[in-house]
Amino acid sequence: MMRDPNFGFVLAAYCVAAFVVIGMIAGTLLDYAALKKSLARLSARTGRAVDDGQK
Amino acid sequence: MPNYANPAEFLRLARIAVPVTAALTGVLFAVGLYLALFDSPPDYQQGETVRIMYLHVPSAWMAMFVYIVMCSAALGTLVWRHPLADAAQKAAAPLGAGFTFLCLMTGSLWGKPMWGTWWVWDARLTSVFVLFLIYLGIIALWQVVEDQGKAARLVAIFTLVGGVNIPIIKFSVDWWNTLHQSASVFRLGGPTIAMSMLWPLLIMALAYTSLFLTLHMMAIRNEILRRRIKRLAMIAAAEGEAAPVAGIFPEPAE
Amino acid sequence: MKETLPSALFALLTRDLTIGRRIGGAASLGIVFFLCLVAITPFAIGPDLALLSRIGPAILWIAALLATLLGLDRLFQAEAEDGSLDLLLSSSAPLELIVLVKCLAHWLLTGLPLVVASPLFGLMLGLDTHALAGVFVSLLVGTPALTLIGAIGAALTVSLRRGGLLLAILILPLSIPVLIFGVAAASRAAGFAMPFLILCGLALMGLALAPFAAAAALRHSIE
Repeated sequence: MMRDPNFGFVLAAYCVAAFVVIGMIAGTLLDYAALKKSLARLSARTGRAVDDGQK
Repeated sequence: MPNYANPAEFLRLARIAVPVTAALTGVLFAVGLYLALFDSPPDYQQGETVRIMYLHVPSAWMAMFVYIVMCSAALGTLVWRHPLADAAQKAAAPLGAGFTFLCLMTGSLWGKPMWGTWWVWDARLTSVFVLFLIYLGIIALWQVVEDQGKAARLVAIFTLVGGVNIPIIKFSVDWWNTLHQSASVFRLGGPTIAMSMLWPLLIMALAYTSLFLTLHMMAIRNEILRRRIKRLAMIAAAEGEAAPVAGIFPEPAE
Repeated sequence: MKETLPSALFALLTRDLTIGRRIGGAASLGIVFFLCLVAITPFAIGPDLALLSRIGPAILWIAALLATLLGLDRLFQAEAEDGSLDLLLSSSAPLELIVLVKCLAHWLLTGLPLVVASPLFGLMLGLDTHALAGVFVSLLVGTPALTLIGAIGAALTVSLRRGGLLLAILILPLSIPVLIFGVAAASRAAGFAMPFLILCGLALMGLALAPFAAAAALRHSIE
């Protein structure tokens, strides 16, 4: 396979695909982590502010 | 509709379903990549370059599939006014754009050795490029309209208008392409495809679909959390203890 | 006073035309913009008349597309700002017809002058009589279609303060079919009748569907 003259293009295509797919996964996961963190911080804060309120 | 339409129920469902589909995606990609890279023959004409097809063709399918998903979610937003449909729309747009981008990049990397140029104004490439532009327009519309409920309804209208237009665009571009047919264009993909190439292609397509479903569920979960955070931030602000959460601006209730 | 539907719509049309004529002369500005676009093209491409006459129909069509886009973001925005759009929304006339009338007024003010002026600018690009007629007729059918498609974008972006650029981003991909068949009919690359008939079909489809989409977008934008 490596002897094929166009091997570089195949490799580049698979790298681009890996980059895009990993990018989408990482984007979603990082977003999730950030949201979780601010949700925890916020509910702690509002929990102090409103004891009986929204949970 | 079942209870899964309820955001809280959806979160419970996602907690179970996401690990399952994620594992399935991993297995499918492992099998698919093995078949595509090691256990399928090189094409007699294209040589090893044909292996790009296993990335390129499924991503083109996904580019269209995601748009269909967005159209159904758009109907859910406009007809039932369901918040989960809003989240499904918003979560799908960047994923669709990602798959379309992947399709364009791999197509370009396939075109260079086969056609001798990075880009040809081939009918299929051009249609996918226009689809990419429509995805970007949808994402832009999501970003500029502040009220997310309103944004969802406006995006839904545009998505459906685009959905009506995409077949027309495809038809026009095909017609335009035969009008300006350049002689040396290599025709991709004949009417028949060998079984040994069909299997890896199908498994890669399943892997992409499973990947999309996983990411879509995760992104919908993110949108639900984002909404919840906004509501909490508003409560905190109303309590006089304005909580400056990074990047989140409290906004009037929907 | 109870207005009948046709007279109400006619009143809206005359009102829009009067406003359009009084405020900065939208028609003349559109033509000047069109003229500027036609004038800068030879500077970019070179004064070769043979080349210019070959791509002339395409230049005129792109110029018409951009000139139509230029005024579209104001199609509903002025009304949204001064509150008269709320009146239109709550009037007894169907919003779809109101949108149609506003499109007609907009086209009469910006599209029609371009169509009328296009043969003149065609001469400057060295088009022959056949091509001039082709450009004229295809623009006559194509610009209403562009206005109607644009109305959807204008309705979607009406509540945004700076919607102009987004409007262009949303609308340009959707106007590709009109551009393809308009230029094909104008340059007769594939005969005149076939692309022209398809162009007519696109215009009719825009006429049938765009008012509904634009009206729905307006309702959701304003509520």
